[in-house]
Amino acid sequence: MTGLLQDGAMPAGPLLSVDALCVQFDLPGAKATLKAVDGVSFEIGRGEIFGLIGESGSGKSSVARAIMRLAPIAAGAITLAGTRLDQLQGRELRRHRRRVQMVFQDSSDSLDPRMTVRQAIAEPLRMQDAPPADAGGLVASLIQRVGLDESHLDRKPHTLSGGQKQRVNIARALALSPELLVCDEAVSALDVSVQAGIINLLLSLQQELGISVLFISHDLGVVAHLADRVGVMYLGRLAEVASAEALTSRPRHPYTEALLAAEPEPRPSTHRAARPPLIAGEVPSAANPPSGCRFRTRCRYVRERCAAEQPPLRPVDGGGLVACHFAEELVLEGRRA
Amino acid sequence: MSGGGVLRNWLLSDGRSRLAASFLLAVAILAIAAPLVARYSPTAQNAMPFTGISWDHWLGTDDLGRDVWARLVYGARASLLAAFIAVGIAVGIGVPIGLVAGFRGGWVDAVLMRIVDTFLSFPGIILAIAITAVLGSGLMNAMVAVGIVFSPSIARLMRGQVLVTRERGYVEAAVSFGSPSWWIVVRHIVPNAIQPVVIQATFMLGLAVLAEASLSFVGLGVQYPNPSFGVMLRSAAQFTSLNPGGVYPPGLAIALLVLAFNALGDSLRDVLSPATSTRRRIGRRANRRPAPNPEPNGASPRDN
Amino acid sequence: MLLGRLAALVPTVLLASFVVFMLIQLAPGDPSITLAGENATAERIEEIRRSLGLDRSLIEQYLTWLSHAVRGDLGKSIITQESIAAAIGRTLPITLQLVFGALVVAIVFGVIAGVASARRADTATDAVIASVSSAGAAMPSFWLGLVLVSIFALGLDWLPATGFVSLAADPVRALRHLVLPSVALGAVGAAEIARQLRGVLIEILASDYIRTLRAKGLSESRIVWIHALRGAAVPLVTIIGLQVSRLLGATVVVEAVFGIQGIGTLVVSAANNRDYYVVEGVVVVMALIVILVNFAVDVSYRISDPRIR
Repeated sequence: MTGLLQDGAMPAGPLLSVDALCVQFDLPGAKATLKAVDGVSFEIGRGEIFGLIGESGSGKSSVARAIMRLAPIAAGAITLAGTRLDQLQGRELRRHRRRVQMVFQDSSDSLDPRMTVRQAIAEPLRMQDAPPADAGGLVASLIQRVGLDESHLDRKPHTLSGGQKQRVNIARALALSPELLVCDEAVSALDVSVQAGIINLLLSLQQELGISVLFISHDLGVVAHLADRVGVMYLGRLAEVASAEALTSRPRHPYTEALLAAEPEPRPSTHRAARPPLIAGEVPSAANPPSGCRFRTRCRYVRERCAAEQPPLRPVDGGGLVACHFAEELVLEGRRA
Repeated sequence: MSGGGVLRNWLLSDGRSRLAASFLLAVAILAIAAPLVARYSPTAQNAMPFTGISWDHWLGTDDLGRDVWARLVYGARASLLAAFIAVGIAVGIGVPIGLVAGFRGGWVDAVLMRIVDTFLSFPGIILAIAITAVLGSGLMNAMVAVGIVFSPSIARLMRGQVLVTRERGYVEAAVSFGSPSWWIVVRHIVPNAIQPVVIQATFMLGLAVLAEASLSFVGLGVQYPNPSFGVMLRSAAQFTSLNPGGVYPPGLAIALLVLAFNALGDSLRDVLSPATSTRRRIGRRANRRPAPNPEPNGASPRDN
Repeated sequence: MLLGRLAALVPTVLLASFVVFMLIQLAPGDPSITLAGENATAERIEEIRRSLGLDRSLIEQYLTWLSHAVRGDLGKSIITQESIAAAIGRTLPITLQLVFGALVVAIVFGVIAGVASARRADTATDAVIASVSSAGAAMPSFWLGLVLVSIFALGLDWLPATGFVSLAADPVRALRHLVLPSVALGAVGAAEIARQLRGVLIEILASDYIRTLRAKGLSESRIVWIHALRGAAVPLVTIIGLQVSRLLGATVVVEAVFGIQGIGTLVVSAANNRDYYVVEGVVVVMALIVILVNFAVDVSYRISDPRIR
């Protein structure tokens, strides 16, 4: 469908390019503004699954919503294969919306309870200037593509399980053949066993359709399994960007190391090595972030320079990007085998 | 739930609503078939006044020798018609206002709600009287007045629902695939916001019957010689000393109609949101109906 | 701070009076023609128009009316030439006594019934009270009035059927005249109060706070009447406030039944006679009363629950 050229090779250049994106919200009452996203830049290649992780308040959802033009963009640029998404308005905007589609966290809330599955999946098709000739056939193929069958088409959402509803959401998101699929905590509300099914579905979609995916989550385990490359966000900025394999085995940012260490270990307690907690304290208020490096208040490697100067996101050897003054010096522990 | 399912559940699920629905159906049939059911014309003064119940005049006659049963049946016509007109107008005015105010928000919302609240500061009947004074008396004018008086609360209700519905995920999803605003409003917002309005409208049908009776009682509604429950009460009131029983037929008719509409409204509310049921089940606690459970029936083996 | 909230009412009152004024303007007919009488010349009519200020723009007319109104001058009745303010001043106190009587009936019976049904929730008593309440709420107040008259006044001759005596003039006779109309007016209110209070009390009686009091050994009556009711005070006051607006309307018809010359009768005859300025004056005064009552309810919230500040 999308993204693949005739001979199966990818066209050159990234599909999505986010440049110094800033998203801010006015706080009610006080005159302060909350900078949910403060200068985030990254790229997603064609046919690539890019994971974006962070804790609550890191701004990852705001990044997704900004790309979807569902949140106001205060500064920065978002470019999708040459088109500046952030500058589109009105009808132009509506026309380009089909190129980026989203799957939301709350699978129930995303579906109109009064519509059948068939109507829900077909709805985006009606928004096009020229609806496809065989909408019914397209809907049928979509529902099968996501692992459900045609008997589900005439049911209402409240008769479906969480996993099934999320598959319907994915089918609907694919209806317009988007180039980029944004999944905002799409599996977080599902049971672990159900999550696996959805993740495998996304992987197979990437393979067959060549679709790019921006996968947002707080669960590093899930993201590491699914994504090609991963970005780690903290308080509105990117801490590290690397391939999934590199991130988990050789993290370059203290925050990434701490996230990895905090993962529950699937081992009996007698076989677990005792480890001191690597991360202390609570996430500072996003409305009033620490000066310099935002992670410095919880970082075990903190030094003077960290309070004075904000570290830029810069390339390091090994191919990734890190925002830490001491990335070259620190030897951080990755996931245990 | 599908529309048909809701309707069936609503009307037949509970003994009380079955009773109410049958009663209303009976009244409607009587009202429509009035010429067939009543032997005399409601305005013909061709008998002795205040004759008691007899085979000839099932409920006797009134002060001008008119058949009470005939007046009751034709009066039911007027009252039911009046109720539906008034509520129709209330919904026709209130829903669009609430929709625009809720969907647009901002200053449009503020201005509209200010106006709506102003109308709510007047006691209902007083405002209806004022509007009738301006429009002139008569059933239609009186019911337009009642409709206008009822519309602010419908507007408020609709607005509140729209505000909630606007925040739902499926609305955002619809925006994300480039849906124009009008589509979102028509396809997503209105169907999901309208439920409480329908419930309120059902209750208002009863209130409208009361309102018509009140206005006609003071001479502003249905005019001589046409019958309505209020008009009948008006003449019965003048002659209570001579005919104390005269107030009962129209009064009971009004009360029963209102009770029926209230019962249907309660029932509808229970059907649409069983969690807030106010139904009292004496000694039947064990038989409480379970809330509809989103259980997937026969999950496909390919699922999950 | 209280003054600030009071001042915020002013725009509401102004808006209400403006709406009424505009409404009356829609009325057909030209009062100057009526006043001029038969065989009036065009000049005479024009003269009267000018004297009534009808030749000026609507906004000007409204402002003129407003400037008179705040000084207490609501104009004159087209029909009787009586000062409208005087007519209202004459009839309003009568209506207010009636409304007060109805409130007493509604609150007393409503609270008793509400408490009783909450304490015996889901029992036969509750069911009986519930049925009586919904029946009471369904019947028109004026019909209840007619029934009461027919039974107690005409049938048993215990109480007078019509007429009114001011409480100020002769309290005993006044009360006799007030009983039936108050019951007729107040019954619906009692039913409403009972129903709402029941719901609120059931929740309160199930709360941890009440459970603690029971564990401490307080008698059930004390718990219900003193502590639980205090918790229900806020919603109760709200309901009572709402009742006032409803009562002001319902009194119109009840006055007709009992032949009481209150403000309701005034506005009804004015409406029947197309005496627009009287209707206008009454509606504005009613709105003012309702707005003030809502304000009082609002203030009482702040007094009883400091959190709402």
